[in-house]
Amino acid sequence: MTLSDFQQDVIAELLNIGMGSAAASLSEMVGEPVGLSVPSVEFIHKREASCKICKIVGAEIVGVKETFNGYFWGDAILLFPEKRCQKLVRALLHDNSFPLEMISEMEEEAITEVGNVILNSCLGSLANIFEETLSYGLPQYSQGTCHEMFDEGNFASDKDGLLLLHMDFVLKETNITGYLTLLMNVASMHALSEQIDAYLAKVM
Amino acid sequence: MIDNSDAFFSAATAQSELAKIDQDLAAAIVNTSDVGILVLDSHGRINCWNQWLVNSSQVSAREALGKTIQQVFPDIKVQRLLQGIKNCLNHGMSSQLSHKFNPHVLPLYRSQIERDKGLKMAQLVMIKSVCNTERYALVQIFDVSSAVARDYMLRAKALEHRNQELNTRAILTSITDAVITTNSQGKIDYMNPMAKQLTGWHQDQGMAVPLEVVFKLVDSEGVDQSPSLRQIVKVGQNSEQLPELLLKNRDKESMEIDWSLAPIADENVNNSGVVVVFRDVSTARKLAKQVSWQASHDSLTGLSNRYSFDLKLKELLKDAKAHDRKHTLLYMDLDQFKIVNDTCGHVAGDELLRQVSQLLSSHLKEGETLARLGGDEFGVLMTDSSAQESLFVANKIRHSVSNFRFGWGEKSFSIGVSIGLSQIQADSASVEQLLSAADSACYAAKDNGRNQVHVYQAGSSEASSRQNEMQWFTIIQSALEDDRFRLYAQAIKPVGYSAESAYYEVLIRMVDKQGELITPGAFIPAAERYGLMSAIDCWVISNVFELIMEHSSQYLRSNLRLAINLSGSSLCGKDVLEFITRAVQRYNIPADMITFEITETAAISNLSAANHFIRELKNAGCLFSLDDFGSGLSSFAYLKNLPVDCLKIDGAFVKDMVEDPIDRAMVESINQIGHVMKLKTIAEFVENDEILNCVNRIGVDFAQGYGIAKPVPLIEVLDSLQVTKKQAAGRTIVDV
Repeated sequence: MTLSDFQQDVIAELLNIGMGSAAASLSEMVGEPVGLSVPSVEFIHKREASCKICKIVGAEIVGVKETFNGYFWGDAILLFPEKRCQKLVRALLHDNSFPLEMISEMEEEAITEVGNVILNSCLGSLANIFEETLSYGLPQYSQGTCHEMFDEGNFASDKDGLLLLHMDFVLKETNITGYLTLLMNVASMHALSEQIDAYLAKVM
Repeated sequence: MIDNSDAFFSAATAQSELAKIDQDLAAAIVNTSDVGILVLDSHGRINCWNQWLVNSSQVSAREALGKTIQQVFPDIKVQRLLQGIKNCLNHGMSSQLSHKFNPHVLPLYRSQIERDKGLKMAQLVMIKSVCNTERYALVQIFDVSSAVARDYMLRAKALEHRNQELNTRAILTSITDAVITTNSQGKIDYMNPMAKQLTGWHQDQGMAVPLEVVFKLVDSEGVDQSPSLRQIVKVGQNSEQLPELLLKNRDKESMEIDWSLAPIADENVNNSGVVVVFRDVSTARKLAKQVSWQASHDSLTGLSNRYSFDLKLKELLKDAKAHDRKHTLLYMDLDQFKIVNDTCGHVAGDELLRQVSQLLSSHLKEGETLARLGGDEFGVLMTDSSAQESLFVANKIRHSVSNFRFGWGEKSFSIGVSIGLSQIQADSASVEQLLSAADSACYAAKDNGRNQVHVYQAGSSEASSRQNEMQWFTIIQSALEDDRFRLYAQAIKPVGYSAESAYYEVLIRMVDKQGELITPGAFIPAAERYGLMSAIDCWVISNVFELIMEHSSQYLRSNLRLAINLSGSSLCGKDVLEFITRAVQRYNIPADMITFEITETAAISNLSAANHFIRELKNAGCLFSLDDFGSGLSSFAYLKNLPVDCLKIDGAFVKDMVEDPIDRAMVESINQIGHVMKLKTIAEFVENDEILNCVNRIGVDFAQGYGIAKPVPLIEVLDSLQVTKKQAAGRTIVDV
């Protein structure tokens, strides 16, 4: 199953809108401009997806995941390279006094909240567009290797492909890059595809 | 305090289809909950306000229900909360407001006291959507004050710990001792820079490596001592008992270290690792060895010194007593060393000592001790040796030294050694006694004509005479103090014609406390040894001069001439020279009346001083004669440098010259040389007429001896002169 180029563009654009709102929230929190990359939409296998992300973000990562359910469903995950994570916390807390190596798991809730804000902004924009009600779980913090993180998600048993939507954002002053991914399985993707068509029919 | 019954759960009433009992239960649960539970309907109106919230906010359910949050808390400015509620009601999104970013979302207090103090509760807020027929937002508020307090405390602790650690690391980085710590498995978890440098494990290469791999210990033979290190670590051995080992670094170089080891333990864990502290002491040990070597060795020759010799001697004496064994002590004194030292300088003397040291060591077996005991004195200790064996060795040494030629520049010297031998045996009294016995024997050997070996025998006259010298010292001193010396004179007469002569050699005698007369042979050697000779010389000079002054009128006309002996020690140093010069002036002595006799050996031993001495007094008008000529070094070459007027041929040649053609030839040649150099010659020991005739035939100018005249008190000579002068009108004037 594939999405048409047109559908992919629409998804990318939607994601862009969602991320625009997320970036604005993040920018407000850290008090510095946030840059966004062009979103990419791919249909790949889970293992491949994790390898790809691993390649971009690094092997050791910190992630905040929100599960969404509704007409379409999946995981939205915000990822930071573990090494940069402490720096992000510092930027968020506006606290330069504390040594970097001492910013530890005590900061878990801070990262969780950042993830929460960003993911909500992003997913909220999507929900707005589709005028569909989705239900969202509370943000979950996790830390470990890329593969571990992908193995324990909703798609642990999926052998089919996944839809990987991804874009990255950069906190320019503090030089921190984060990655937002949406993972959906085939069934969810069908539903999304229908939603897109319905949306287009309404707008055009 | 707000009454519990005031709490209200309107959601329960809204669910009309639920059984009343279920509603009551649900309301009770919500009110009992230890978190704040707030439910908002799709219009944002408060639908549930549980007891926890009533207690914390002081707002009753009645006041809260049906209102929006802004209405209940008009001052609330937390956008994030409002946005979260909006997201939840509009899209069903969940939110979590951490304490970090939103510390006090609602004005809630844990207690009245904290409210009074204005200390708001630290809160964590979760917003979730609850869907029934319509969508509700469930807002749960958690009191995280204690977690936050704990967090602060942990941070403070962590910071403190970190500072402490930084401090410790700074100390460990800057100290010069090397420090390694391990974990409980014996793997390294820290090395300070010095430890890295000494072990050669740089950066973090040594981390997690077993201690014995990095801190590799070997013994002095290079045998790996890792097992014993492991054992020491295991039992946590006390630092004082640690063996002296070497550290072998990564480049396989060994260094001597001082090290200590201590277990690291906290209150709970018995052993959480060890800390090893060590430092490179190679240089220090080397220095210590050097110092201890220097303390026990003579730096010039590299032989043992007096100190270690004494120790070893003590050891041997103890052994001799304990096991009834016999050892031998040799005391050796070089003959003619002083001549080399004085004529060629100290550098030559030092070199001679070095060469002799080597020569001596070549005769010794392993385990035998050779030491330089002082100036030109050496000592040998031979273990388990009979008198015969050691006498054999001593003679071998003596022989090889006398065959040895020391070359310096163009000069070549032959030297000798006088050796005193004493046995160390069970009945030996003490180390001091042994040394003094050997020393006495050595001097006995010297007195016997040098280059000899003398075995000490208790009670032997020669040796005991040396020991008696100690007593002589006090006797001579008291004699000087009490003026118990007497002046004698022996006539020196011209040979070949019978004429009255007024030429005398002044001699000295000592009177002991019992009034007995003591000949110089008994006390002069002791006076020489103990530095009393100059004092005796001065006594003689001032007494002779005084007598001369008393009788000046007679002597001036009688042409009296007196020969006064001077010792070698009087030649060195300015004191005696100044004393004589002053005395000549003070007593108004006609200087040419005085001839000073100095021995050839004394003059040559102190050649430059003697030269200066002679020239000074000759300028003042005094005359000089070289005594005992031929007995010592017999080098005519030195004669050229000594501006003397007279040669006294050693009596040893003279007394046997009638029978011994060699002695006679010696006398002849000395006489001839003397005459060629325009010196007068005097034959000593002329004991009879045969000798006198012989001397006469050879052409010696003067003769002295028992065959001519015996010594008589000087005062008698002076008195007789007075008589003689009156009688003799035509007296022969001796031209010397």
